[in-house]
Amino acid sequence: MSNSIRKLTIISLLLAIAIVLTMVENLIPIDFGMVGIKLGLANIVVMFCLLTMGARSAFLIVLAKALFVMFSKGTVAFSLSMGGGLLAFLVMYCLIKNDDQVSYILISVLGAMAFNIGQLIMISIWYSSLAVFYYLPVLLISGIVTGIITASILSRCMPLLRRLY
Amino acid sequence: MNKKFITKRDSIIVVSLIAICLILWLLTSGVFSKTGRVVHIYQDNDLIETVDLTVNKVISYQHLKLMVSENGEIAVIWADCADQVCVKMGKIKLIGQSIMCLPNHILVQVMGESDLDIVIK
Repeated sequence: MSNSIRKLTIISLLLAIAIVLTMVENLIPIDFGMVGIKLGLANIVVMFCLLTMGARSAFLIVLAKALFVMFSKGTVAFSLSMGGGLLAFLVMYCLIKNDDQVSYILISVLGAMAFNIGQLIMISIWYSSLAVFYYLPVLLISGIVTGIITASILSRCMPLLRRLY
Repeated sequence: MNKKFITKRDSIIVVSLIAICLILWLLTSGVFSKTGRVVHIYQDNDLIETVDLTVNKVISYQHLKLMVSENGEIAVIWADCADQVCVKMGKIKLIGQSIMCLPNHILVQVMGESDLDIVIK
């Protein structure tokens, strides 16, 4: 019983970290004149959760974070967060489950790319137009770069975070 | 559950992913695509206006202002939304490029030659 309370507490804590990281990264003035290019720092939390606490907890964080986005930014932003988050979650989950040798960098890079693809899919649904896929290559490259950055942050933080769970 | 930051295999995968994406990017970003002649403006997925890119002008709508400049480029110069993403996207002129305004649900897309040109040919 106390174990599940402990787990719940840690998940809530991680969710709070994910939300704060999203706010922090919005403060960083990286502007490529492009939509959707972001560091994706919240993905660090999802990856940590996926690696240590399991798929259910990670899924919960993706879901709860998307809900937070809905309350703070509205339904369009919610659908983008959901589309990107779910696809990234699925890709990272399959990767970790089926490949014991997979390194942080591959999980992170493929996760970031999946996030961007998921967001583009949601935008193209909103517009019922495939025009936005014009930006796919740029978004994929940015996904690779930000994926490498988040992977290095995660691998540095992992020894510290492991004390949490 | 002790993972490495990077393995030899994964570095090869990541590098080849970068290469593939760069090639994709080259293929789509101007090197091979032509500049467009007309722009289609959609609101709520309906075509509301077709703008000729050869004439300089400012087009005003309720929620945003567009400007066509000398070299056949079009840009959103003003929008009433909070995020201003469409303004930051700058000028576009290549066929297939587009500017989106999610809050107002408007899509500006550069198209190829107009129907008239095709008829003349």
